[in-house]
Amino acid sequence: MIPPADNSAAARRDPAERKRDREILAAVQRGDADAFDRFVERFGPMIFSFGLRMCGNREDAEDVLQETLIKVYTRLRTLQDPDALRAWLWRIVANECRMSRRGPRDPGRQVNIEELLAPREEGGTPMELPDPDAPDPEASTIRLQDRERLEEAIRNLPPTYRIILLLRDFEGLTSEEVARVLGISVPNAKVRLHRARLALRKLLLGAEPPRAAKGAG
Amino acid sequence: MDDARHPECDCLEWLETLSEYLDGDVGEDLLHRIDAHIAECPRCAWAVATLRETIEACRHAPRPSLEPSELRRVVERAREELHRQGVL
Ligand SMILES: [Zn+2]
Repeated sequence: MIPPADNSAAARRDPAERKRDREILAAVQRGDADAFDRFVERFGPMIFSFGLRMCGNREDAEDVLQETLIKVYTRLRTLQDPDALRAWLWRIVANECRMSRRGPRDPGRQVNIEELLAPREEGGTPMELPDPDAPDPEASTIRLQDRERLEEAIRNLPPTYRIILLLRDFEGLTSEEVARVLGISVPNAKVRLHRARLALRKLLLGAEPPRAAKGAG
Repeated sequence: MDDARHPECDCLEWLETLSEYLDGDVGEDLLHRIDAHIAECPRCAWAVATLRETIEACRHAPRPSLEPSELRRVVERAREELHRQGVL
């Protein structure tokens, strides 16, 4: 029995974290003098790193941070449900990323699930088995000696995949929260997440990028 | 599509469920069936292992950081705008 990856929002966000969110929200709504600094300290690094990974450049990430701080802080005073803060904040961050992105637009490329699972098309099977006699055993494992490798792989994903991976696996939102942030159904979010993970896995395995299926159509 | 390419097992059927499996998001019955399949199918076992590594890498990736001076500059611009709007 292989235990499931502990990827629940509960694991990422314990009750103490939620309590801190609520305290900051209360400070903002009371108009405490240090409320803005506390708000920035708590959410600034999170917003910036998301913006940098999503947009792929620091200039856009700074714009996303600035605009998000302004918009979220302005509206925090009227937010009723403290537990909705995170999902609501992520929705604003995601929208800012969409608006400020200077990079190429979403290519909207649909990737066949078999392509994502096949390290090499020539093999004729959906997944290649690691060859025990292969000279390079690294070829069939996820190689992460270099952190930049993961960041680069993320940048190379289509934006629709990148955003869902960032929300779910980097930031630890639940599938339900991700669906709310992106304005899609939960089943849709799960399918898209799975494809995004497979696409990232493929990039990390060092295989060639997916190509159009042979004889498609 | 050539369905004869992988006649040995119904791997693709399982592969569609692996994210939910790794997230602990499948029912007990399906969980046991996937466990049983993985125990016998090296290809799916490998797919699960590498998919799990991929998810773990994301979960543990350190945040790219912002220089303190860079952060101060952005925060000051946001603060000025909030002052201008009468929020601060
Ligand atoms: Zn299998």
